Amino acid sequence: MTMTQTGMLHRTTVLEKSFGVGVAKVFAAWADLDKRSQWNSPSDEVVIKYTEDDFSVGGKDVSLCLVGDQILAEVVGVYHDIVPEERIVYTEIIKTGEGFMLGISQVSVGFTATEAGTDMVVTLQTVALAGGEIIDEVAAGWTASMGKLEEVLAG
Amino acid sequence: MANLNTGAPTQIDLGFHALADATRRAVIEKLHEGEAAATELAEPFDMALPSFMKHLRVLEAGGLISTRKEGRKRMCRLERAQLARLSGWINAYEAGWQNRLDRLDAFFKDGE
Repeated sequence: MTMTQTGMLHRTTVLEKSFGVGVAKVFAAWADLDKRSQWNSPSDEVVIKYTEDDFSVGGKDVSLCLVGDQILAEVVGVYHDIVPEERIVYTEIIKTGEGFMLGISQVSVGFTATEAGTDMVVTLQTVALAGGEIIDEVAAGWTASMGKLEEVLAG
Repeated sequence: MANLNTGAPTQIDLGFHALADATRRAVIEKLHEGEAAATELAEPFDMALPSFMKHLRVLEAGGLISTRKEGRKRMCRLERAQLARLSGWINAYEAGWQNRLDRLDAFFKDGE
């Protein structure tokens, strides 16, 4: 893990999972929005609401990560390569609700049929960008500083 | 910002104050290369060491550097808060993916 002075941090992570169901079912859980909506949330508290859905090469889907009515993030997925029951390669572009870029992840999903069912390997190649949070903090810092300056001038 | 009522400076305010000076910004640039002794950092500047040490204290108060004694030297290093923020984001993102896969497993086990 290295940090450049250009405000980027890169990391690659491989996640492996085996399922006791066939490849067709596992692939469908990604391809079919109704099915994907049922599992594709990072936690129980976060509700994913899709506003666009196009599971095809070159297609794009857009989702909002919601906790209550607060938008944690907007995720744009762009599909680059889809081979049914074999692989899906797409990018997730993650921004804050205000539209500041947090990071981009290339997600490569591979499916292999096994005797027991399906092995799935998800490789995440992520770049975190010094975007939203830092810009928010800078803005908050300036607001506070300006507020204090006003107090000083008024005093 | 909660401190607006109390007037106490926050870490962000101190950080801005620390950055509002060319000498202190130059120190930060130098520390990107790694930890360095205060005397070594002071060398390029035409000022008395006590004055330079004041700049280091401002940087430390702003959370931008940390210092430690090593024998007679005071060693300074950059506090890479930005790095911590970025790796924090990636950690949360990857943990979220692990949860997604667990939920997918539960989805199959529940018979869809």
